[in-house]
Amino acid sequence: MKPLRTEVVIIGAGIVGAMCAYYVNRAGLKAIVIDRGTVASGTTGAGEGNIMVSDKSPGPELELALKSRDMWFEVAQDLGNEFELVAKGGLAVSRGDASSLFELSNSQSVAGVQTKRVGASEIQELEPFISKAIQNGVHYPQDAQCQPMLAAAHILRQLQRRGLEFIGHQEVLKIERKSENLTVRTSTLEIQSDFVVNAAGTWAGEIARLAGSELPIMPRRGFILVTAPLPKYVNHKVYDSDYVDNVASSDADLQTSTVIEGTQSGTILIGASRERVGFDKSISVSVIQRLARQATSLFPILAGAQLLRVYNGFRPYSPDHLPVIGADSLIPGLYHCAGHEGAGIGLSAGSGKVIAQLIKNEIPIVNPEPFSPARFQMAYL
Amino acid sequence: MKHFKFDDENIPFHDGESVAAALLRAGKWRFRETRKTKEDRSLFCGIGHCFDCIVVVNGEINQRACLLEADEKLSIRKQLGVN
Amino acid sequence: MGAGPAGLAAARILSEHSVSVDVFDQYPRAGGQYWRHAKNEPFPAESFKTTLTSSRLNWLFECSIWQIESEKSGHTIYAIQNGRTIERTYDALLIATGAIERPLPIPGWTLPGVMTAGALQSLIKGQGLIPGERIVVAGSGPFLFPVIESLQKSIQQSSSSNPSSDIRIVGIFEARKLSRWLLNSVGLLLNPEKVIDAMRFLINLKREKLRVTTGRVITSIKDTNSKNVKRISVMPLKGEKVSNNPTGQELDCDVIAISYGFTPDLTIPSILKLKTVNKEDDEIVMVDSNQRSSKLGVWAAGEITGIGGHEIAIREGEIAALDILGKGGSLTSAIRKIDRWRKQIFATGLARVYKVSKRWFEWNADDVVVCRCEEVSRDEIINSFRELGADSVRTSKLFTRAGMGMCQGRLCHRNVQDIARVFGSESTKISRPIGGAVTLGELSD
Repeated sequence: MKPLRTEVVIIGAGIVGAMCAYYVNRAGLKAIVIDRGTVASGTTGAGEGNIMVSDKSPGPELELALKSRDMWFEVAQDLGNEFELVAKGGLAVSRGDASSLFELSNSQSVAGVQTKRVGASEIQELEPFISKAIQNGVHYPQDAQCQPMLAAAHILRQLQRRGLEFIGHQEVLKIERKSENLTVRTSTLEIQSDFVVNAAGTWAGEIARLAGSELPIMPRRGFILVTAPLPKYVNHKVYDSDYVDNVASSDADLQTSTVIEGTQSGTILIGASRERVGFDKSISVSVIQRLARQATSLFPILAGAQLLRVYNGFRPYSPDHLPVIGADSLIPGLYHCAGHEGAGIGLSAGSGKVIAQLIKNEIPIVNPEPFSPARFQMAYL
Repeated sequence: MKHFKFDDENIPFHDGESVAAALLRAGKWRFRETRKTKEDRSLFCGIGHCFDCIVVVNGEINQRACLLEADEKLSIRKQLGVN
Repeated sequence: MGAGPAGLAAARILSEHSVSVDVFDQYPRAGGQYWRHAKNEPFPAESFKTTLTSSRLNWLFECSIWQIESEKSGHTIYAIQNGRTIERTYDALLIATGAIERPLPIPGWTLPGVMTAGALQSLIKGQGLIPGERIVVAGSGPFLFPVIESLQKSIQQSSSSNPSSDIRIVGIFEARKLSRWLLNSVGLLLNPEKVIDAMRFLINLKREKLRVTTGRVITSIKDTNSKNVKRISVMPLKGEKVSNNPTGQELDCDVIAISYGFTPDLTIPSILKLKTVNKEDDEIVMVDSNQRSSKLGVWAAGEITGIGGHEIAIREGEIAALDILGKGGSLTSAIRKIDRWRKQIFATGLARVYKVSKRWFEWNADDVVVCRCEEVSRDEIINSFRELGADSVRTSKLFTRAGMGMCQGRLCHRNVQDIARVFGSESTKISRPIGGAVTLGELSD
């Protein structure tokens, strides 16, 4: 078996891996993307395609999200928007006391997010089918959405015309450091490279272990309910403002709050259940019922909508809920780009860019310190 | 004979008959128009599996005409896409 | 679950013992597809009439089972009946949800007037309606016989009650040649009554001056401008491929009934995550000799354990019921197992005789809609493998939306699988996490 030789090996053909490939390729480096399955067959294939700035509090993640959001549109311009990218805007609403929502939006606006407080009549204008009981909300015009599978597939396909290689069905068995090289071994291949990017999503911890390092990335289960195709009842990404509190929570108990949105295919997605249960793929009736109840109380017209499907995916998360982007502190040449939890689609462009910049020794678009793998690896040093 | 409404017409039906059967008996073959290509569709599997015969029933979309028993209280419309 | 032949056979035995039994069915009456009958008609199978009125059985008709949760305390069924939620826990489940008809996509098959043979059968038997005047029955497999028979009977009735009516069968096309029956010689030897059935059918056809043209398939259906009349092209099928020798023919008609057999309805088994195996390219529920599935307390019977027809389904239902009662090792059960074996040999042979070509999508160069719900074409599916990196039905579906529409792949999954196979894909297990129609409002109650 003659080993392949390249400059960068990217493990994972989800959206994060695809965006890493895009910026590594733009940086002029030769790269090979491998995946244990095919393109977008993990978390990316089970996501809504959220590119959101509204659900993040000021801080490093929001800073990355803002940059990343704009970069998505640049990628679409460069490669052609064949993945339904659209800035549909988000609407966070509050049923009761809106003070924490407004407090958040004020601070977000200071951090550079476009926000607009809206009252009952403006809410009705933005979302004519929303419950009349909703009095307060904040409109976030920057929130966007795409079809994440198509995005990953089109990016990789276009890059293959620009010299990138993509090889599916390659489960990594070992990553070894020999002299100046890293060798990635799969069941059928051996690839030597200068750099390896671990963009393996929920399997990122496993990949780190195979390289002799460690990374605390865990799976968090999420459900999305999908309705039958309906008229355009929901224009924006509409969510309960308590969703924002949930995202930041580390309480392992089941928490749900709703995010509702329409898709170009006419289905309505109801999501944002958060449950930490490991790799158990079963669906629970109580979660489905709770999401349905929250959705119909926000949009009463959805009571007649038929539930077609439920899909669950696993969001890769780290203990502090920030993604892990940067060089491994133990294995030279190994970079991690994982643990984006429910924000992987939105943060993928910025994260890929940061990885390419770190590899090229350039100054990254955001301060990479808070995302550094070292924050979890100090203990092992 | 009893009737139900299909768009602006009165469709007669036998007791216990399905909406789909009554429509076909009356020569109404076009139950709905698809979302993407606006193609006409009609009864296809006849037993509730395929959802091709969906119509709007009393304002509710996506109702399978092959499973629905005809009734005078029904006001049915050809479903145009999701409307 | 399911009040067709398998479910009823099980219910008949269970009702003779002191167990409490609920029978769920999505339709308003018992019988399933095989004993489908109109509302005011008596039940077609005499031997089940007392079962239907048994006080030990609780019938739950028009029920849509959307979810089942299994725990130590039992299996909880979540269903919707007339907008009302049903939530009940059981010690034992018997799944007998039957099969889904399998039509093959042909350019023009989405035109009104083209329907499955089962749809035509359900209109005739369930509604007393012959939906057209010039009817073609086409496809492959033994199901075409009873459809033609009931169509013929119903045409006779209609012309005797209304002499001016002029309804005709204008073509019967069976893809496979009669000579292929040699592939089922053992099955015929073990089931001689089937030879008599076939002879009776053929004699009947002859008397009606009808002819089954074998070795022919419809390769396209075109709309003519005249009201509801369609022109079909019929071509010879040689092995897997359409040939031009002898040359094909064209024919005008208004109703075209198509059937290429059945595929097991694995919706409920997929919710319960029962182990499945492949048989003749169909995914079927894996069961032991007592019809036990891979899950404790769950039995499966009828078409979901392999397409075989109502007689096998009845035996399987009975065997399952006996085992549920703790009589799986009894003589009564053993006798039924021998009969099941004899009939299964015949059914397996039959599947060989009427094996559907795996290359049906090459019969016509023109593109064709494969997923009717989301209007996804053959070429789009092929493109998802060639260009987007799809490697299975699952990933192709995520790219193209084939199988993501209202029917959740019930009609197209099997057909997309055939296309996927060309690209080296292994079969994708059926996954339909929501079993039946349920609205968000019903879930919110």
